[in-house]
Amino acid sequence: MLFSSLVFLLYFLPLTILVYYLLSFSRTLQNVWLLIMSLVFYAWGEPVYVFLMIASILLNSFAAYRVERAQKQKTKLIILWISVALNLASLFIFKYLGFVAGIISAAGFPVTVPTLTLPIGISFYTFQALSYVVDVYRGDTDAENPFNVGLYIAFFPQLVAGPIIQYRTISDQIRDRKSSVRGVSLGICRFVTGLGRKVLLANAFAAIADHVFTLSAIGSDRYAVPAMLAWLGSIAYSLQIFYDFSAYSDMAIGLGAIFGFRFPENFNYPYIADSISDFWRRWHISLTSWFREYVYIPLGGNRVQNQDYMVRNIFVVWLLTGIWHGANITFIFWGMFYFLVQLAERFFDFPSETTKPWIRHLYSLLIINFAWVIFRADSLYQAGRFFGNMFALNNNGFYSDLCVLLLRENWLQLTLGVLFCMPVGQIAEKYAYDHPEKIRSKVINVLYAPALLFIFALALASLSSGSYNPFIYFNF
Amino acid sequence: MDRSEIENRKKNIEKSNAIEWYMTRKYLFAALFLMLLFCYAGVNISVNAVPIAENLVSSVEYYDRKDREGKNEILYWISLGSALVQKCESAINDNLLFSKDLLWLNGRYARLQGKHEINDFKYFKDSEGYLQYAAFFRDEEKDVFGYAERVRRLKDSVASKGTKVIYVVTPSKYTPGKTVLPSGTPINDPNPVTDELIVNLNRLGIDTLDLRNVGLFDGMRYEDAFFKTDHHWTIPAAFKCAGILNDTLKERFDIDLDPENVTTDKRYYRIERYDDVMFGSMGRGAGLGFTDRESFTVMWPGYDCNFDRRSIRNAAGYEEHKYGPYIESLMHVDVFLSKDVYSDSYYSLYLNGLNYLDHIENLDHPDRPKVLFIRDSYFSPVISFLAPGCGQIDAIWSLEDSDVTDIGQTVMQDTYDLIVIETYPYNINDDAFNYFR
Repeated sequence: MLFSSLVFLLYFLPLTILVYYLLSFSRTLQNVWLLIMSLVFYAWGEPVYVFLMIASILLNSFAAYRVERAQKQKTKLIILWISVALNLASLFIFKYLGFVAGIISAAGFPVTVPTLTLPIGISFYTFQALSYVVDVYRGDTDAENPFNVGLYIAFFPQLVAGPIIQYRTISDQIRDRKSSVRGVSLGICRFVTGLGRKVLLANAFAAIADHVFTLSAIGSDRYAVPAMLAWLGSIAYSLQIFYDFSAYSDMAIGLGAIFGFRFPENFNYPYIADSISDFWRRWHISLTSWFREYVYIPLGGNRVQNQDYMVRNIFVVWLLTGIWHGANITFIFWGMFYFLVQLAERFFDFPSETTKPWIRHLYSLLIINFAWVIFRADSLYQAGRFFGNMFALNNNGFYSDLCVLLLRENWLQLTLGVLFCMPVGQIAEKYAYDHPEKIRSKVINVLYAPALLFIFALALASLSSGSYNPFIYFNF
Repeated sequence: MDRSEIENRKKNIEKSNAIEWYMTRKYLFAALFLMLLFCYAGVNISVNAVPIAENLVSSVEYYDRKDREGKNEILYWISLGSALVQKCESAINDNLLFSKDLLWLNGRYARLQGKHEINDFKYFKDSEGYLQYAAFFRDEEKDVFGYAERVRRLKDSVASKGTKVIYVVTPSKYTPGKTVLPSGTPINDPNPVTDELIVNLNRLGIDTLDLRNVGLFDGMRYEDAFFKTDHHWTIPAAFKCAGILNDTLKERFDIDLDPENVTTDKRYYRIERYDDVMFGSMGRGAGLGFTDRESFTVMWPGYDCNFDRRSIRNAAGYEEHKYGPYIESLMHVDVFLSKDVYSDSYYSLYLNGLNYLDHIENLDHPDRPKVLFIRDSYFSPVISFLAPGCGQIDAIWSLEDSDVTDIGQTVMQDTYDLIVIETYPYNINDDAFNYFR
């Protein structure tokens, strides 16, 4: 089930909210209801793999229980490693087995493996499950009953596309949280804003990007993608992935707030970053936090004897980040690309504080854009061809009528897309907050509710009319 | 109280006002949102729950019959679960309250932005306001020579009976030189594939009539030949081409489907234009917010002829029987009664638009030629215009391959004087040649 679907908006969500608040007399029953609805949410798209999720819940509950009760440190460690191995084995079998088998076969040792569909969200909930068991092992939190663990792992707002939440940040909220009118209102506003960004902006960029990348993939003998069009496609994909992913996070955080949960922020205007290091402090914050917490720091982080170890640690994190994103050599390449860039930034101190801001921003945006081309391409060959198209190296020319047409047809979405990459909304809100007496503030206050209602109506209209609504998290 | 204290107090009041305003607008929106969401969801559920549930129950019964055999119990339940979820989701999407208003809103939003395309280039509005099909690339290869071979096999199978066969291609709504498009438009141009098909048919000795090139636009403007909101041609265009087809049949096969020079002469028709009533299939997909209703010209026959028509309307074999004068038997005048432009278009006036099978007997002239039309919806008005000149007509929808219509069997079992195979250029695909594979 998708957040941006009619069945979720008009059937699932109202029912879940209604019954949740009817059960306000019992926190336990509320949690059970949320768990049931989360499993229904997952089973709607994955009727078979919901059992895999239930197995993961039970396995990790049991493992954490045994870890907590084990007397000896060695026993705790063994149970922890078994749990980690089983979690990663499940992830490996469903996500990476085919990829690895392909590599082995290409090396001359033919291997046949069954073709398995990737369970949606397995990367997200496996990492959450791992973080739970590790937190119990470290003593950062106590082992919980399976229902609470199930709710943590399967909670529908953040199941499919994050944010990845460490158990210790949410354990208190599962047991004891307070819903308030304020929290629910803020949550609803955040959810609808996210829905609008996904349906009205991200989907428009997706259409452009998908067409251009497909045209590039069919080969320049059938269609030569001019440089202008290739650049438009890459920029559209950069906008698509930002708006789609951050909108899903907005909706997740909003939905969590409706039920009294406070989830951490996952994006902080990444496209205003002035370096790649800064970008990764703003993009998919929950993932980078997870890797820092459970990989980088345990390896020693920055506090190592010499810089070789630090480089190794950064390399491991980027390798795993690339692998986590998908079972394709392009993702590994993408991770390594960022590894090299980040390393260069560290060692050459570029961009430095003295570099002009516009140069820093332009450099960052170019690197990010190029990286997204690698990320989006089906293969390194296709990525190479796309870069060739961007720089007119494939006898593909520069000017494109189709690019001009697409710009004309999507002028509003592209303008708003670029505008809202910057904290325009935040600035407007702050202005209204700091200057309530000003006319502009009054206008913002008066138009806020009608504008959001209009956005919601437009989103519903778009969804019900069968407009393009891709789901890009099937790789995760 | 000194001045600084007054200033501080003023600032505190302003800040608390700001917080109040900030949260008030959030509370207001949240309250409105919840109210509207629960009302809309509640009404949707109460109106549609029973039809959706019935739909699901019948799906389970259908699935049980069709797919249970050969599956073990677990696999059966897994696949049933997946099928039910998809069915439920489709039923919810198809039974949405105010769906037409939402469609209007979506279309109007696109129009206000000055867009020519809607729903990711599902349709593209050209410079004259005509909705066209768009495509960035062709994602399937068409075995055009294979299609031509099937037609040849059909022709060979009836050759011994003396049956004449002709393949007719209707004009394409996208006509280079007539359709005005902004530069760079990814238009879906079926003409190259159509040209290739004609060449292959001719190479295999099939008589062809390419209505794209035979003077449709002589004395007729493009605007009068095609609808803006529908993929079909207009009735006057269909009428003109019926005349061209008859002239061709006379010339090549000495078959005259208008021996009295009445049915293909527009002087024997009462031509009436109905304004603002036509809203075609493409318009229904894009919505009234994106495009507008247009006029529809009807050619009412000014002569008498009586027919008996039996039609199979759907895959379940539902049969309809009409008989009597032309208007009562061949025309579906109920379209005039419907005020809902989304339910059907006026194009259905002729032979209900499209049936799986139409069997038409000319009660006044049973001795006239017996004709089989293997066709799509483009030929419904043409068949109506030519019906008085035929003794019997069997018209089979070429794109549907079901138990109720078997073109190969029909061709082998019956003897026809003439077989007319017709395809609209956008329909040239594997499904349109469901015979003699």
